[in-house]
Amino acid sequence: MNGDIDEVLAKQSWVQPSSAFAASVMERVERSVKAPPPIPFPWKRALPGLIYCLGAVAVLIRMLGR
Amino acid sequence: MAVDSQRQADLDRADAEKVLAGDVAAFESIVRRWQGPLINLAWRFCRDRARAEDMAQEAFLRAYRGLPTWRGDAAFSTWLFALAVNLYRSELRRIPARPEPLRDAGNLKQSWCPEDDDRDRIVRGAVAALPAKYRDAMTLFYFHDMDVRQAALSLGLPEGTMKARLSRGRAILRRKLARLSGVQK
Repeated sequence: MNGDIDEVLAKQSWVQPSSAFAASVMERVERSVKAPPPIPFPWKRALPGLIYCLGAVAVLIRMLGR
Repeated sequence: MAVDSQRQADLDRADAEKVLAGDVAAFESIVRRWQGPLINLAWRFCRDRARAEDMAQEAFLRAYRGLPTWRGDAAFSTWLFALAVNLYRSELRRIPARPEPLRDAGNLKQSWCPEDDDRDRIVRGAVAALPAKYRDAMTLFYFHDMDVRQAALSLGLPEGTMKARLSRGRAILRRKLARLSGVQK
């Protein structure tokens, strides 16, 4: 049975790529090159607010703990 | 054969360097060189030609975007296969392949014999129904012409783990097929 399994799984047919495959990949690649880069998260602006929030939560926890 | 693969590796390296230097068109040579293997590998995972091409297209796009992360210490093809295998596996987790149904025992009674064309479909169906880690190991092993090292590299596994998975996968497969074919004895 091992031989059968090897024979079946090793001899599987080979699918030919469609003729337009490479062209359509390159089209997507070129589109991705031309696309504007993703807008980065504005850490500089958000950081003070985040620090303030964390501080407020810490103060609240301390107050509740008393 | 070794000369061919060395030549291919040199071509890959040269094209990858051109792409990294800003020559987008050089990526087309990479696509043309590897489109057959990547589509066929995808086809072995999903058994759907159109879906295989979509999956391979996505793999090439990710390879293009991720090219700066290829460090060049491994062969380009190894890196490309590992990337494609990761993508194909997560695609299959998202939308599983349509299973090739195993025949019931009654039908199999007439069809299970070495000469029968249906045998291929039954064995492939049994592989597809294996737990994912064994199925993937067997798919890659046969795709790479039974080269354990290459298959292990594509799956990002140590060779020992790959051998263990192959052995366990084969054992499950043998049991399953014996159960199905046993009815004819």
